[in-house]
Amino acid sequence: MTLPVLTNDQKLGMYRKMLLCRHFEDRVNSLFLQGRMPGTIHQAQGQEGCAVGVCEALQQGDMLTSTHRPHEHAVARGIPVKFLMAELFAKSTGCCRGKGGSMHMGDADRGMLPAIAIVGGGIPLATGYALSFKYLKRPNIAACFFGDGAVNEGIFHETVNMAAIWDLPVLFVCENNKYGASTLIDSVMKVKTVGARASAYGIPGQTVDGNDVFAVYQATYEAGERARSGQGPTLLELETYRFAGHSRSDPGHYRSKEEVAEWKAKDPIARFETRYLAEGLLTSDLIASYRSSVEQELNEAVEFAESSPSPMPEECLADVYAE
Amino acid sequence: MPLLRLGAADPGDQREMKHIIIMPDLGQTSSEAKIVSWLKQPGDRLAMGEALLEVETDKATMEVEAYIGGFLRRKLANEGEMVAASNPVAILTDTADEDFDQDVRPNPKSVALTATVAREQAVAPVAVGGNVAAVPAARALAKQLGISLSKIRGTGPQGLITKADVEGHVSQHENSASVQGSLHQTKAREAMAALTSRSKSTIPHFYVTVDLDMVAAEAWRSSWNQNHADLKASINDCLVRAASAALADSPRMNLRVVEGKTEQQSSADVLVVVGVDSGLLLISVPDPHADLVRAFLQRMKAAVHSAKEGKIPAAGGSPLLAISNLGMFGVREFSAIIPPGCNAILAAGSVREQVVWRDGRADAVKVCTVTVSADHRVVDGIAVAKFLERMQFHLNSL
Repeated sequence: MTLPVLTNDQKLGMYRKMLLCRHFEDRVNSLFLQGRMPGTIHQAQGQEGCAVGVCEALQQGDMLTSTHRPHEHAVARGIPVKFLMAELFAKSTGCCRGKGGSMHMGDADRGMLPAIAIVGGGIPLATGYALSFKYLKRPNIAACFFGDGAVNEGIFHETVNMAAIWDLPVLFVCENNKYGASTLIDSVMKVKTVGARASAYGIPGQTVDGNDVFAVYQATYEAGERARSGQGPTLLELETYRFAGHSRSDPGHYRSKEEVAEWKAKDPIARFETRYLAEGLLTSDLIASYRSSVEQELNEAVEFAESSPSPMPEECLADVYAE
Repeated sequence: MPLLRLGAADPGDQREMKHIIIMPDLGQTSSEAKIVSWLKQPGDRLAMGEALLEVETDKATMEVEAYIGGFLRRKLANEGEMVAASNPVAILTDTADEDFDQDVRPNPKSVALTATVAREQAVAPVAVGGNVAAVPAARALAKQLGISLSKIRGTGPQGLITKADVEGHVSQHENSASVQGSLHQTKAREAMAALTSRSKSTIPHFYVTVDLDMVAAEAWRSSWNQNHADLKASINDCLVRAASAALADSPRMNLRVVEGKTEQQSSADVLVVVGVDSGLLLISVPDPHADLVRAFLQRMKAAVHSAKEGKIPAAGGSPLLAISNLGMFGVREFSAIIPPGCNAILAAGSVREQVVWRDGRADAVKVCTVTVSADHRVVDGIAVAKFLERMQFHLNSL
């Protein structure tokens, strides 16, 4: 299988997406600290390589499911940030009309189901999408993000097995950030990698450096091509790290300062910048202009969100049942 | 928190030179937090995202960062104070010495304030059907101290009782029926008298005594202590941990009787008796066997330390087994009175060397004689004996 060569524009596009993800999360944190945004949040700073690398390899018509930590997935999938921001502000212009909030980011019309916060909850839904794609003979695939905490849930085993026996076009994408909330993955899993689990289902499995956006893209692209050509599912493990705690209530004291520093040194955005500053694709002026352009986009998103109306009580049951 | 913050992250109104830092809504079940310490002092400069103060929520101690860079000009709350979410805690200005007005209303765009109030009203209905509204930490503390919540005046929304209300009540009513560090010496003795007489006259005690073999536990302890000079394990730590693990293996010892009905308790909590200047203090240690050794020892040290400082240690758990240890005074063995609410108390003597005749030869061993006093309405001798067997097992595999 040959991997399409990425043009410079595509590479820079992936860079800007990663920046938008990071700045989106930082802005949300700032709004939270100012008391301008209600509710707690699960943030993904540090995991941009996973979100952007996977989404870049998805096509229109493909379907993505996500987790309780979905902000970066939604940004990377291309849902306009103003609709995401409005959702966080619980406004009627939000991607779920203000009734979903942080843990239900998504927009099925834009290729991402509203996220499911139940651990492992997206896995069977993506597989259901894959079954329907196969049944309807559509060329699309489904992909589901889940964390390392999900791989010991029963639903993971049942669903991966089912997708394997039916050769369904689905990508099981584990963002392994080492901790299921505060539980170290090594303390609850005997095998060394999640990718190794694939052999138990007779499907390809791969462990990828999740902080290298191109490695993630390549692995996802190849797995996607296999799925699209009827060769069934793949289990991808993306090794990554969240810089923040599990949620705003979690200071992350279960991780050593050295460990956090070690992973911050592997920041996917900084790695991209270092590499392409050296190769000449990026300049410091270009970086500054990208940063100010994502800040501008976020300023507009916050303004849009804060000036949008709240949902009305009579809209309470709208969109709840299928019509 | 996040590393990359080169862009201007929405400082709000650009003309505004003053910035109010609020207490963020960090809790899981309560939306107030205690200020543990200030990490910056007035005049200090902060970068955006830098930690300004450390707070303790119902769940953890954590840092609050500044959402914007600037100079800390005024602290609006002191260390040790509880501050509700969305209330201002500090004023920052853009420059070190500019004048600023003293208005401390947070950002007018703040939505958290109203949301917080609405949520508290939703979860904290006033007393219904004889139940008193109280936050979980207050409920646990009151239970630990044996105080009825109905006697405490709540200062939270709609009369919700907070932990501070319970502590306030205790300091005002020194004759409360509890054994508590801050009580006056004679009052403590009176409380102790009341508790023990009630227990000994209403609970049918019986006693089971064994010699626990401490050879393996002592070997483990000396190897741990050699490698962890900063966090040494005591014999009492070993006993507490092994007893908790044994309790987890012994469901019949961990039954709670409530209004004639028996309920199985799933956590293996232990009540540790600690000697303080004014008498004895009972510290609840939830599930001591469930932690890694390091975390467990840190928890024990912190609890004992705060008890000796006269503070009421953070409550939690609902222990049915207590442990009292007089080994450090050279006591060989004793039996203890069951604290109300518990099914049993384990009394430990000192670890002593002794020679035993085993397999036709003399062996030097280390033993600790323990006596379990148990409530025969709930447990029987076989349950206690099996529990002690499991405790020996866990002492051998610490």
